[in-house]
Amino acid sequence: MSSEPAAASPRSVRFGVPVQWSRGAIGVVVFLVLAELAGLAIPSSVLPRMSTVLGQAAQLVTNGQFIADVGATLESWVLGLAITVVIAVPLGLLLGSVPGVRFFTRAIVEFLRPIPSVALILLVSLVLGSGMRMTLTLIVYGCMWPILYNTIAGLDDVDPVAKETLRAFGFGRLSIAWRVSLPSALPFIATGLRIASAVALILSIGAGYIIGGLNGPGIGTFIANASTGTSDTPQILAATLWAGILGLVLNAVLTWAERRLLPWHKASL
Amino acid sequence: MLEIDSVSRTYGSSGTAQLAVDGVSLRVADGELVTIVGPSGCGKSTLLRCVAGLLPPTSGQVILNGTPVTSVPDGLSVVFQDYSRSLYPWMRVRENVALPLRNSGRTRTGEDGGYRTRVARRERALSALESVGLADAAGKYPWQLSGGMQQRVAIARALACDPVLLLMDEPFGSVDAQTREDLEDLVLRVNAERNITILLVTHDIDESVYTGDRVIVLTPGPGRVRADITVDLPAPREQIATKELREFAQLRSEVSRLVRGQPAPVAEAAAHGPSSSHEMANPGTVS
Amino acid sequence: MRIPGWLRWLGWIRQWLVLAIAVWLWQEWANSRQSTFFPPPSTILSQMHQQWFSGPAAHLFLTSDATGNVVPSVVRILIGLAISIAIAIPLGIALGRSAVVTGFLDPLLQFARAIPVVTAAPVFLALFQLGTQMEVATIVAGTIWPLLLNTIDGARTVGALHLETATVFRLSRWERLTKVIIPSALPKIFTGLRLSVSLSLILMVYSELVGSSNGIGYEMNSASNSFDLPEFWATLVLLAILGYLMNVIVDGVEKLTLSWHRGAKRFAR
Repeated sequence: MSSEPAAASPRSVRFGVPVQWSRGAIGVVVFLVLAELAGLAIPSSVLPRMSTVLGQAAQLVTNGQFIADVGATLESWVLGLAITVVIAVPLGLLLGSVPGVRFFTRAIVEFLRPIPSVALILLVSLVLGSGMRMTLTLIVYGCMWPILYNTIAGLDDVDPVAKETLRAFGFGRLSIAWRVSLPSALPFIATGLRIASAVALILSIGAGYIIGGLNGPGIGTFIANASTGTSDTPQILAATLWAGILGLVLNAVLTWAERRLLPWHKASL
Repeated sequence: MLEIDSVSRTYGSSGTAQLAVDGVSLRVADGELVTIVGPSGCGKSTLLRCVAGLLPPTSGQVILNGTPVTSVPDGLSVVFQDYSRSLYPWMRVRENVALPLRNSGRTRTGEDGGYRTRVARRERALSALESVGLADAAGKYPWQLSGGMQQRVAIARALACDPVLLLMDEPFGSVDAQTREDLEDLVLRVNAERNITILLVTHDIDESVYTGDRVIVLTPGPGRVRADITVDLPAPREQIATKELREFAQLRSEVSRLVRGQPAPVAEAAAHGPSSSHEMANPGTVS
Repeated sequence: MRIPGWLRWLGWIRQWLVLAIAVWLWQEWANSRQSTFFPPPSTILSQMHQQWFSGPAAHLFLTSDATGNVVPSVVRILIGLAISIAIAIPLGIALGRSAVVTGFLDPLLQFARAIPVVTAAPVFLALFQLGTQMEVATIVAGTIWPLLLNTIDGARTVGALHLETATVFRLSRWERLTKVIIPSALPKIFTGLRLSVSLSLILMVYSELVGSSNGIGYEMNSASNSFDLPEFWATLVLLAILGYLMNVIVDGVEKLTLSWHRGAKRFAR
């Protein structure tokens, strides 16, 4: 490789982060203005005006019911992910390190994975009834695959040289697993967790929306209530806006935690 | 005739500007093989990119056959060091070699530009592959070949369109020693048989002396011309016999000292110096 | 390392063998338990046969139920995916090649991706009313993001030397696009496509659960409402088969178009 300074992106050096931010801000503003103009042209029964939606979204902050719904959704998100991690990570470590076990389960997993998790909303609600237990079961089922899959992939990716180095220094199997296999699999597990986080949010809201009020509080229930009767589109859109912000924040939190806890791995995506 | 006229190139913005090439001037006659040697970070590759028209010089200009270079000029080919990133892994060897033929070629002989038909391009690609001894590999993918073979493909691709000027950016930096010698001989043969002007950048002193008609030594960054040495070793060069010559050893030591920035032992150089080497007269370029 | 063909077949057969054993165990278990919620596979299978494949020979043995519910669902998936591909790939390549435009749109794209797509269905339900339009819109709203973001990433990360080589050999803009940028982005595009395809199935079911007068999701909903568990399980198994087939098709297409990529990766090790 030639060691000349990279010719790439002199522009980003010149302007740095602020330009990136200001461009993004301009993009958002232009979008909001265009959406508002579109809302003026199209009857508000079809497409509500952006200002109405934003106003509703601002009001939702003071809406005690909505705050409780967001809290319930968050609760199912946290509990669901925690249960999944407790089950899927040890399982993945086991499956990833014992080849025989792995082959048999892989076949089952290959056939179970394509079953769309939302299809199980009805089954689980038939078997368990609606409510938090049903939501959690659903989240655990849906989030199991990305975490399990990534844990196994992480173990596959362990550098054999790193393992052999420790073996050469006389470390035992468990010690090697703890010092090499787990640390190098952790970034993969973290990626799996971030994918699972989005899935958990989708399933929590989706289940609430399909089952409706019976499922207890949640953003999905809130939207279900807003869309019964003469559907309140601005209200639905306002809740959707907050759901998007929640998704962004949760992803940002996980990415931040990943950077802090796993400094040897630069978070991608 | 290739003229490099006090070319400078700066990277970065005014605050953190970094000078990579500082006022390099150079003339290369048609059919000449000039090697550019210098320590890593001396701006060799930057200079080559300026000549290729891939990178505009911050000041100065490059003139090829009387025309200033502003974009990649007609009749120019480049062989990069990193063959694995320069050959397209999704194309077979034959397709890689044929790709540039659509838009260039025949410029040298003044015939109608480009190989218009697919058959013509294919035939031309196969004959180019044959000339580097890779006729059998035409249907393979580049990544199925060894490093040396891949670099041969890159050379065949560069030669297929009959360039007048061939730029080589540390072309043999990542192949093993034996292959490297074979490829050096291939370049010498191409230069002799087709009378192509070649500018070859390297950090290997043996290679610069062995292959070059002239060796340009650059100073460590920012790159300036420290010396311009004419190599008058006997014409058909040969890996073992040429390198055994006393003249080769002396030139080698001379270039080596210049690269390291050590002063030449004056008495010896005056007594035995076989070449017409001369340090550049311009005091500004000598550190 | 090249795996010989017969060994691959053996692995494939073993995989199905494992599935057969699992199904047999389920059969035994369900027979002994006489569970209402988990009918034995034989019951599910005969239900599937009677429901979809017992039609007249002139209709390829398909029943009116199959043509009336399964076909519309598959068509919705195909239309939705086709629209997503037609929008996301050209747009993604354009955005990936332009850092400036991406700078303007990046926050909007990140936000749009973070919105849990399940909230889109009620919005479309309000916009389009019940029917295929709303379902296709939901599928597009969900499947477009993985495709778009992966295409952007693929187009952005084309090797600098690959592009420089294209410049040196004076390729035209069109050749640069079709011979360098698109092939180079293709592996990432397929990663996106894979995600989008499994999402499309989920969203098809979801949108049909939310509001539809036909389709697999609709059948599933009515089976659940009438507590007809064999029929419910039949739709679930059909979905799993559909998902499996879709994955097989994507795998096949990828194998055909990206053989160079897998080969190059294997040799790089």
